[in-house]
Amino acid sequence: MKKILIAVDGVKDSKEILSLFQNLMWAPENIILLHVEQLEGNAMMTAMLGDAEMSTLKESLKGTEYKEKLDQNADSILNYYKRELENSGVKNIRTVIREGHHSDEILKAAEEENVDLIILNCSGKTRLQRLVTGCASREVEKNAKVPVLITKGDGCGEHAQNWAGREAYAIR
Amino acid sequence: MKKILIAVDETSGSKAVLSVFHNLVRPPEEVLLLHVERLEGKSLMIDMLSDAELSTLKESLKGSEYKERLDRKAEQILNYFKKELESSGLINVRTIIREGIPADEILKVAEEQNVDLVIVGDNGKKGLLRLITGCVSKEVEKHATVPVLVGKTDASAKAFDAEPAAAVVS
Repeated sequence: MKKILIAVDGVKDSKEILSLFQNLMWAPENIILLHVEQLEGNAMMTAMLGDAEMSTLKESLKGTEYKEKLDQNADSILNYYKRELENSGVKNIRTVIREGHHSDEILKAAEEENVDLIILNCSGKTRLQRLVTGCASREVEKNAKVPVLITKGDGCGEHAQNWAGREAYAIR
Repeated sequence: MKKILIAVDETSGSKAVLSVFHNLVRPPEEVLLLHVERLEGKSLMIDMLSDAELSTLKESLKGSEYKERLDRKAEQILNYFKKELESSGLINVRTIIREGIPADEILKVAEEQNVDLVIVGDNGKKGLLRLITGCVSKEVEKHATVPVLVGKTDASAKAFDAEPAAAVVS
């Protein structure tokens, strides 16, 4: 096992993803780290754009300060993960930045790169948020052709609080 | 890391689970194989039952032929997967049979047994069917507090068909 795509969103829940390779999963031969830039921030807008509109949006943002900031952000996230993974002994890490719809780009990248597994973090949205803005992890899980591993960050799952309590207990 | 829950039913999606498991996951200390008996077959009814009604249903089915058949089936499925896993060198495989709503029971067992990973198959339901009858993998993914690995029918079908075919040819 061979090629794994890890979709990273921010560094907040990185622990969940990084710890996978320490004790649960075999280190793969290749890792692709993917960050998808959401051109419209947290707005719902991009989710409703068609392909043509999206490419116009991309075009118009090219070279702007906003886009530069997005790129910087993407770079720093990807570099962080790359460093951490390399520290834990994984080699052959490639980083990819894409722009557009989260779940679409993750699925496209997975297809193009012909990966064997997709790893992504659950977004930790509440039920209402999830209903309104959609949820990348669910979309990916539903439509992917390869296995999907969903990690759980803080605030994910219904019993997240119990879980947090248990961890605290273990530390004590 | 050390305790993994694998939920299996008779569908091909569960076989996906095996190939995923072999390829991706380090051998854990303990594997729990869980099969959930759906008391009402594929009907929608069970999803709408509350706990009290569900326990009445369980009660009334106890000892019936239907329940016996469910039990036999459950054992067959679990034994199949157990054999498969043991043949790959795992020693600590425990089987569990529960009854009720699959997603709920999977989550409950995961919590009770304090597992580190849940592996479920994807039943390949799409669109309307998924909307109406729900989807175990989705429910588990949504509510679990530990990582969830969803096996895929397509990917596994390939892996599974390829091997025996090649063996026959040679």
